[in-house]
Amino acid sequence: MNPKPEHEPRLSSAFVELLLLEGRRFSTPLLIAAAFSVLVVAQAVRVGTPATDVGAVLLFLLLALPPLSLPLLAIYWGFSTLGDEWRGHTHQLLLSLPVRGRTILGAKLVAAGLGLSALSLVGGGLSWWRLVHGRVLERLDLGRERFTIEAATSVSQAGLVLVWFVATLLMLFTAALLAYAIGRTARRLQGWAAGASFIGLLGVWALVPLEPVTRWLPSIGCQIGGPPGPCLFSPAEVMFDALLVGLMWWVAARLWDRGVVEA
Amino acid sequence: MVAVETRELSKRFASRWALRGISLSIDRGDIVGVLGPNGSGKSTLLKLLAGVQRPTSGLISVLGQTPGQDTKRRSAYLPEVDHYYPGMTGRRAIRFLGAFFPGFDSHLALRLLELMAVSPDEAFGSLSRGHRARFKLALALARQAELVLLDEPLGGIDVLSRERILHAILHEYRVGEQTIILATHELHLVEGLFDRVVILKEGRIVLAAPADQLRSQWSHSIEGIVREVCA
Amino acid sequence: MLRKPFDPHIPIYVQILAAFQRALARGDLTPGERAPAVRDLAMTLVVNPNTILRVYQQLEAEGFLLTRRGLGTFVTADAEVLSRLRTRLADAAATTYLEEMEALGFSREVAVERLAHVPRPVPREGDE
Repeated sequence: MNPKPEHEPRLSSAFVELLLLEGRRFSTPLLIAAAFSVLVVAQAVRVGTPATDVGAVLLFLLLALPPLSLPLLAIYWGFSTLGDEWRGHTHQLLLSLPVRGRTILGAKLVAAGLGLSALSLVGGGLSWWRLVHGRVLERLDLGRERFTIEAATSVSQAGLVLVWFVATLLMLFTAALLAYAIGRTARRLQGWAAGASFIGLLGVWALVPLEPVTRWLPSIGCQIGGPPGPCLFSPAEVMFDALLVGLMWWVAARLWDRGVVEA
Repeated sequence: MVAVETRELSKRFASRWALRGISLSIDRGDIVGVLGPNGSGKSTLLKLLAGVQRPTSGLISVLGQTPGQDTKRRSAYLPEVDHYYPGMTGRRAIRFLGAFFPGFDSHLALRLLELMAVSPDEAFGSLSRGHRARFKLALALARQAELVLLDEPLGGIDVLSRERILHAILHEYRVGEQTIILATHELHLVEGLFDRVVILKEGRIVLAAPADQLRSQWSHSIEGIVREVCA
Repeated sequence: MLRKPFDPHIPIYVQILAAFQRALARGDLTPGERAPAVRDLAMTLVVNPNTILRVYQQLEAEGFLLTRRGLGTFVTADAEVLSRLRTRLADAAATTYLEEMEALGFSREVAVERLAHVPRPVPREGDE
């Protein structure tokens, strides 16, 4: 007796349901981001650029929070997106669904991408706006040699930086997700296995030499100005991150499908 | 017509064999009890049938196929743990399942929740133990799946909930068409349900036969037989 | 009809079949009346519907139940069949008694004679 093909679940609605499940993960960070935005805008409107050095330093530190905290958040999300499922036993619900691991994990990835993008835009965008257009950096007189940010005032330049930033965050997220899955396949010391896998994956990311590849790619967006050197915000980096994210997602999906993750 | 067939099915976790050489055959339309003490491998067997885990070795065939996406669609698995998200209400869960299982009958699901006296607007996490069990079962039965796998559906819950659960199972059971495999270590009130029983001990089958046949041979209740055989 | 819960030490099929035969013999099931629905009975007794189905099949084979397509299953209206059942069950009960008495060493005449002296049992609560 063969199953009828028309009874395949509609992937779109299934995917949306999975996305909605992830929504609860974002509520707190988004609220914090909203509060941050209000804070920054209010400060800009009322005080403008601080007259004192101390004021400017404090403001700089505040504005530096998103770029520093978001990578940590991405890592935390990466581990908890599967960790929460196992802790709450809801992984049994997901495993019983007639969809492949790539759909389940794909939804998590997309949700993380959307969430991290929103947070980067709000947090990163506002920070950028204040630091550059609000002339906070200028006030701190950090000099063009150090940051060469001044030239990056056009929207497209900022856009590329944002894309690079989000790609890096997603890379961290996916590495954590895969590390957790690998940890789950170990019979004992799952936490250690996950941690070691994560460090291993970051190592691969950091140490794979890109130079042989980037040499052949046009360096659009790399003309941020300032002294020549490793191009931090290059499209090659973004593409590499995207490739790595895809690879890690695929491996995690395979682990999921093979049932090794339910140790 | 065979619903489930396994041959020398085995599953190992680390150094422990949860199942060893399980060979059985379950006909379509039967209600089968998988019995035995805790740790005998009942849950593992059901997980393998549900496709939630892969076997270490041996053959397994569910509804004529190897467990996978297709069999997940055609079978309904109820794990022992509370596997719904704590924030999910009945309605939300119905919508969720409806997106994955095309044949899912939302109206039936609501009716079953009502039958089991569970409010569809209350969050899963805020329900009592017995109500969580009813919630899970209502949604599993609403799937109207060809194969229903229930892992300890009556585990440690109040008598009233047990009665409602058994009532609902019998109410929805499609005679001759639906196959139900129920794993339990508590047989009080339940043993009358089974056409056949499979008794597991330390991962192996010690006895597998029609329930009435065993009663006739042993002049004992199934509960008594399990106790004696697994002592 | 069947006292719930059933005795789990005896095959359920046997108990349900016996209960039905008793009910038919006593007239608890009106001839021509519709037989209880398999599912309802299963839910009441908390037993497998397949078991009840098998009982119905056996009763049908013996002529006590009739299935009319599209209408359902009915108790036979054939008085002859029911009377033969009553006789059969009565003979079986009597044979059991006589065999037991013989095993105890009583002669058949004594066994028959003793019947007149057996006191009537006080009706128990819940007996139909």
